Amino acid sequence: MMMPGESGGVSSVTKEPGSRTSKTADGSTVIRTRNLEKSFSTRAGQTWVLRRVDLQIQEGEFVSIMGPSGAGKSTLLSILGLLDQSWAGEYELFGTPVHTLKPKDRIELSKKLIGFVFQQYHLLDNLTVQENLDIPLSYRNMKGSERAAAVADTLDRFQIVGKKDLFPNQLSGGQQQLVGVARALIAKPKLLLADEPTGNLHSDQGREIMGLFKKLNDAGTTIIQVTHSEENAKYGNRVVRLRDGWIVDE
Amino acid sequence: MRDIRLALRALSKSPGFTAVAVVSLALGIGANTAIFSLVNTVLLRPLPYAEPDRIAIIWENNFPRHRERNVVNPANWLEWKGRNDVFSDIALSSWSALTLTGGGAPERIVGRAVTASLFPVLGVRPAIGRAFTPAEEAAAAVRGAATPVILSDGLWRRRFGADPGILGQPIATSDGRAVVVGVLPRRFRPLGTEEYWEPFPFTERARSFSGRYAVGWGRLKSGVTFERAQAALSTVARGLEREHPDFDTGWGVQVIPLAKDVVGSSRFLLLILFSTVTLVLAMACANVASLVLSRAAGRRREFAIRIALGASRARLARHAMTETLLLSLAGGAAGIGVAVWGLKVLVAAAGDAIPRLEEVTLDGRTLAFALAVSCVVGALLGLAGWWRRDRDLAGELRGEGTRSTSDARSLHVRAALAGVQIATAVVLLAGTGLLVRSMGNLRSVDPGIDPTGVLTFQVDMPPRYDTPEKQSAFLDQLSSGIGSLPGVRSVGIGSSVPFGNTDTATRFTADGLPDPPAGEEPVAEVRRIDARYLATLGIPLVAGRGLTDADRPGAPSVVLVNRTLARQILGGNGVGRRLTVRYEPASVEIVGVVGDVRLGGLDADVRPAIYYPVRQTSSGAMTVAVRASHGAALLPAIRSELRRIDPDVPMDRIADLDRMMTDSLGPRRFPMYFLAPFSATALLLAAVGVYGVISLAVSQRRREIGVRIALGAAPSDVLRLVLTRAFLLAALGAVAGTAVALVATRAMRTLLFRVAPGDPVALAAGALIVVSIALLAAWLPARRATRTDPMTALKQE
Repeated sequence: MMMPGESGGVSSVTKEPGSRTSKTADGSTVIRTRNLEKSFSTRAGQTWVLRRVDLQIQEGEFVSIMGPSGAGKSTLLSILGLLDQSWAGEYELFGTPVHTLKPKDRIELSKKLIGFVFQQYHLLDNLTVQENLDIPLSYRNMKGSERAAAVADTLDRFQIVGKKDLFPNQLSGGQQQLVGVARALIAKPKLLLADEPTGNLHSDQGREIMGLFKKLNDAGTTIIQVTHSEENAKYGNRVVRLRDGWIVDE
Repeated sequence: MRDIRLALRALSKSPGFTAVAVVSLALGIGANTAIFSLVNTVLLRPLPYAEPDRIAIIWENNFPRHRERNVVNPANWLEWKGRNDVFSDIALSSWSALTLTGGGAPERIVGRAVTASLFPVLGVRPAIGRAFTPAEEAAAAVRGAATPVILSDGLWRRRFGADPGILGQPIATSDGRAVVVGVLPRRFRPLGTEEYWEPFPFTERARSFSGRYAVGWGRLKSGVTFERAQAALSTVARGLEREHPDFDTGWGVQVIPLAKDVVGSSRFLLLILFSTVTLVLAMACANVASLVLSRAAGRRREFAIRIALGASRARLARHAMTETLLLSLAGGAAGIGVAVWGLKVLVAAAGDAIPRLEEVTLDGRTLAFALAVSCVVGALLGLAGWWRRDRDLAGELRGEGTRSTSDARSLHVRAALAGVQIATAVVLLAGTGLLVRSMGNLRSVDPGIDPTGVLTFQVDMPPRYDTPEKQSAFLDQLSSGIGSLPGVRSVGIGSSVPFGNTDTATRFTADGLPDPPAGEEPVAEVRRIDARYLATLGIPLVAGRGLTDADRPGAPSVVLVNRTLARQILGGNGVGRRLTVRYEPASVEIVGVVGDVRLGGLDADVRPAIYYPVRQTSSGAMTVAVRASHGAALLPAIRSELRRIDPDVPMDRIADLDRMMTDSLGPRRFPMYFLAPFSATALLLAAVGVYGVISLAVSQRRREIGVRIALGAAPSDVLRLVLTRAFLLAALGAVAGTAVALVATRAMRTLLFRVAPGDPVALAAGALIVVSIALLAAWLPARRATRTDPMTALKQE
């Protein structure tokens, strides 16, 4: 099993973009939501996905969001990861009031702070492992030489140098998810979000990935995962349970 | 570079998509590039003369006689020259020819007789030697004087081996009087097909107000507009009308920019061609866009991942466009190959329909056009793919994207594209149908002759045949010599044959008719023919007698007239009446009436015509018509016979009369030949579009079809279900296309013959063909739908 040598440590509250840092957020709060809600209209009326979600996550936590299917877990993770723009309420990320930001600024904030791991890995099929790792860096306007160094370093840290020229369909599920995690971390995010990261893996591979998450968290990375697995939740230090869009237990 | 590398990799993994897209775009961009090359050469590139936008061509006009651009009278021209203050130089030209002898068979060379001022008007100086001097111009009117000639670069190289020592030397011609004084530069563009120039002879007749047979040229003074020049010469023309009412009543002057005159009606034709290929390119783009949309639907997940990893909208657009730009640039590069090939075909097919074809090249501007079109097409296709990215990012990443909604939207967009393609195909097919009907009408026109099996050629008698008697003797010898060859049925000789070079027309009066007001005299075509001309060409004698060998000098002057002249002017057959033509002082007797012949071409109106006996009025250049069982095989024998009679007489313009008649339709046939393949391409593209849409619809309705079959639907029910949808799509497109064609085909009015632009047969045929092909294209996916296994379809859902 690989051993990441470092993680994206959090040293301070971000001040960007702009200077909208909330005075109410203290320095160690990563996420704070108030009355976060999401719904959509149907002929039958308003259907709620999330209701009045108040959540606060501190730096260094490893939080597992759990609940039955349709409880709103993945939706909450998407909103926290700034992938979903249509919601109501207040959301502060590292002190920045996301609810006041324009979509473009939310994307910029996401690029600086968040790494995402998906259940289906979501590697780009036409790109090699090395190129998949390079993608997030290329979107951050890094110089080519810096990107190459970062990719080489990550390949080395995750011990996948030998796989760098392979395409995703030439890797096992566990190897693909390993690359997915490496890709999520390569830009040194302060927050790692994972949506059912072991959902498509058999148990041994799943344990390897969760062990990796644990080590990353131990090294200081704040992690939020969505999972159905009580076993996986044990790798974390806090569980948030959702039911019908409500937080029912913490 | 990275984006390019990755896009290339992605394209190489979809060879089918890449090949179809590149081929489609190559055809579309190639056709556009080829036609743009013509547009660039004919409409955009300046004429190769000094300051060409100051050069005018000057015609006379006579609107009551529907003569908008008529050749000019030299005496009138002299008055324009003396009375205008708008031209820095004004020149005159007419047609001439000389026969080169020595060194093999004599060769007839076409030339122009020009005033010395022509070269300053065009801004050209001889590359070697000099231009004509005023003294040489004055001497040209003197019979027997040496003729200074200026050669084209081509003739100088071809016939004289580019020998600079030729200057000042007499060259071997049939009259032995030509002396070369200069050679024009290689880049000089001749006024027509001429290869040499000689001074215009201002003889006493040329200085008289009689006969129009020249062309005026002028270079505007700096700052003078064409409008001002037109106004100035119109004032002069009005003065001439008052001064010479007998000759100039009704005649005005037309000052036209040379570039406009050269382009003529081809501007309209080129715009039609360009519109057509633009439509075809749009259809090709629609098909590729349809493919790109499908591909984009398959790439929604990729785009969602990229956004999740931080890709901005601009970066996504760049990703999408890099691929489509590569496609379109590859299509453009292949399109240039298509354009090179297409240009060769176009130039060969265009004939006289488009001017300046000899200058057509794929120059930098054309290549820049191809590049620009490729980039625009690539960017638009990229935008189409980028626009199709999924808006529900989180859902797509969770694998629960709004696929059904997106697929329905994609189907609607593709159906709309296919509908537009169908409409476009209907417009192009309706246009082609109109041209086909037009050609059919032309082919059904009775030319008034029987051209089958008639070989024609021209002979140019040297100046030593200087009397009608000598000329008649030569022609008699030639006629009987060729007539005795095996297989020859008849030999006729005339000043011209139908569909060939134009002959003269002149005003005339007839005894017994009241004198018409000045300027309103009737005009007739004038031809000179021998006794066997009518029989050889199959022109029927309607009344009276034909010409005989007895109609020779000294015998009473007689003529034949055509049926139109007899009916329109004389009110009957006119045999026994007398005519007086403008330039012949003595009257002549009408001894016969012959059938009407469409002398100017199948699409030309029959005009009054007068046939003189060649023995009484022959001239140097005559056309011989030979009706024989195998005319072409007789050529060597005919040449030999001509050489035996007089080796100095050149034989040229050898042609089959049937072929000449077909060739005379060239300018009308060219748009049809051009439009037909593009209509077929449009039809194919529309069929592909319909096939794609119906295939997609069938795949999207697979579950529904499975359920229907499970519930007892027969294959015919499924077939009807799918084909009804295809029919509705095709019918909607066809209705829209027909409506557009009703308006668009009005622009083709001048290209049509005896068929109206909105001809219901052509429009209905176009719509019917497109709908039929669309249904045929839908048949394949419909058949596939009937074979749906209900259990498999339901399980997959």
